[in-house]
Amino acid sequence: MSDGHDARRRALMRALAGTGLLAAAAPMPILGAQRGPRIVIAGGGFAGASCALALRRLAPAARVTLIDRQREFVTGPFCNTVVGGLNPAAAITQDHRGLAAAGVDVVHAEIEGVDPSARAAHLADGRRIAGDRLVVAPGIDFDYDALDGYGPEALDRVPAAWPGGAAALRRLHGQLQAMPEDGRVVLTVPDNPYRCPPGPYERASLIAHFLAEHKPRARVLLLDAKNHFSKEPLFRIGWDSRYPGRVEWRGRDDGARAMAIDVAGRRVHTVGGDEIAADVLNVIPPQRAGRLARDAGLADDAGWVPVNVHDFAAPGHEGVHVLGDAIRAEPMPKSAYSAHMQAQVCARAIAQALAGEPPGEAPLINACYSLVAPDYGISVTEVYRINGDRIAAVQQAGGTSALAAGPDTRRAESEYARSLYRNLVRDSFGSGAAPG
Amino acid sequence: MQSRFRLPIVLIALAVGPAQAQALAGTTDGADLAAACTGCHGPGGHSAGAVPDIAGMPVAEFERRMAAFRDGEGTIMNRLAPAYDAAATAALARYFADRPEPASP
Ligand SMILES: Cc1cc2nc3c(=O)[nH]c(=O)nc-3n(C[C@H](O)[C@H](O)[C@H](O)COP(=O)(O)OP(=O)(O)OC[C@H]3O[C@@H](n4cnc5c(N)ncnc54)[C@H](O)[C@@H]3O)c2cc1C
Ligand code: HEC
Repeated sequence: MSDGHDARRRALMRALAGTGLLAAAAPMPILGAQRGPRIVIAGGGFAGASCALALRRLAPAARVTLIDRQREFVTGPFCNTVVGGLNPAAAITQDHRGLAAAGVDVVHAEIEGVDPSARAAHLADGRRIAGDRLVVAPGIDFDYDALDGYGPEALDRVPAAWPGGAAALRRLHGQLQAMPEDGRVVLTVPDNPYRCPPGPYERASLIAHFLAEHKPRARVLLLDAKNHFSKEPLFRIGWDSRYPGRVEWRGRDDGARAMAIDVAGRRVHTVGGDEIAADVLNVIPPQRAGRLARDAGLADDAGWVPVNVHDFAAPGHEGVHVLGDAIRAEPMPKSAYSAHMQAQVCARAIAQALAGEPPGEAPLINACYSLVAPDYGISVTEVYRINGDRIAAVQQAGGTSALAAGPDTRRAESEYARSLYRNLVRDSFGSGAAPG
Repeated sequence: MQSRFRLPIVLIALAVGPAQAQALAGTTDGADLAAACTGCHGPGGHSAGAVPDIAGMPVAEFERRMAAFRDGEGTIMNRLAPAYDAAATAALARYFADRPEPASP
């Protein structure tokens, strides 16, 4: 432990030793507490924040330090309501104050890299923070190499907004407001795995909702690298009933996968040879684990981090755990609910190891609601058990909302979606803003 | 701690070997089980908004509701409850019954 805090502590000790005050002051409970185990968490999104909060509860003697570059965190969940103009970005902007109130040391700084062998984070400002355990939760990065012509410099004109911060979400919404009355919105959707499998289809829905109210002759086209997608039958029923003729989907077998993006011309070149012009173009790029995990050698060739599913430890790296969108946790999808769930399991495993208790294994849950419209919610959920070295869905549980459900159920699920958002944020960040 | 519930299970698991141990590895620690529920129902079962508040719910009522969900009631609980057997449901019921009633909002 050689970060600034400990360096200051050692300097203080030296100074005190010189004056003879150290003996007089002993025992010093605050310094003693800092000699307890230290857990360093790199990344304070849903995974890292949830893990920090759970550790404060489950291992109160441990010192928990969470590092993130962002003071304000715009969530993926409900970001499509900002794109569709239903909520301001402020309604889905969270922070780490609830964590600090729960006793987490929060450090807002860019992390240059993590060192698994030393369980340390190196900060861009030169500080180094090391612990007895290191939790790496950096989320995803875009894989720009996988899409010709598209890169970070294109984000202003052709946003990804996945979720990409308040400015990106507002920019995409602004482009919708400014587009022609009979214009076309095009979304390109990557192959699995990527962050939030139903996200692109919820986004298409809430864009269609905006268009139905403000640009009645405008349409949405999804160009998908896949042949099937999450909650597909439910989305199709929802589009047919709420936005007839407005949402078109083309998949892999239609040759719709995006191969290259003409940013200046707002055109998509597809694998099938089509050149598709858009008035508003939203590219959801292919993805891989966040740079911190890849640079540290934690990821596989495809760019995702394999983990031990019992405690989300990185195999071969003692005391290092990886959580959230960055990991391979199939069949769990990359969602905030999954990230929060994995963080609970990881925090429990760390607390049990510190206390020398035997591990106990509980089922895991993922649940994702999507809004087809503000009053029309649909959901998918799954319960998982650890089966040997794999995560396995429990056969007799899970599935999507009933295809035949009536408007009362759809409305109820839209209310549950809003409530889940608030509860998940409270159980991850300790407090938070709430969308309508 | 509730490790006194877990310990015998681990010992049995070790005694019968790894293959059968799998089926016995499930915990009956209410806090561990509840960690899968609180993303939806809120910390300690204290919910904000439409998802029902289950903090402080009496054990018998909790078990009755879970049985109804296993029989198909609900919009989403009908897809979750079938994964929880009687022992796990009882542990969850005790855990949430022990959470204090929420402070009025
Ligand atoms: C359109 C859309 C809709 C979604 N809807 C839902 C939904 O309804 N329900 C749901 O469950 N999920 C949803 N998600 C998915 C959800 O956003 C992600 O699964 C979740 O955020 C993953 O959490 P994470 O902690 O792994 O990553 P993140 O939340 O991305 O957190 C990673 C953190 O690490 C920090 N970080 C990374 N690198 C560094 C560095 N070098 N230095 C400092 N800090 C760093 C970042 O600042 C960030 O705060 C949605 C996503 C999108 C895009
Ligand atoms: C995806 C969100 C979600 C998750 C996860 C979830 N619940 Fe629920 N729960 C609900 C909703 C919504 C209801 C209302 C009934 C319905 O529509 O299914 C509910 C209702 C209940 C009720 C009845 C409350 C009442 O007042 O009638 C109980 C008890 C309950 N849940 C327990 C649990 C337990 C235990 C877990 C974890 C194993 C859990 N829930 C996980 C969303 C969730």
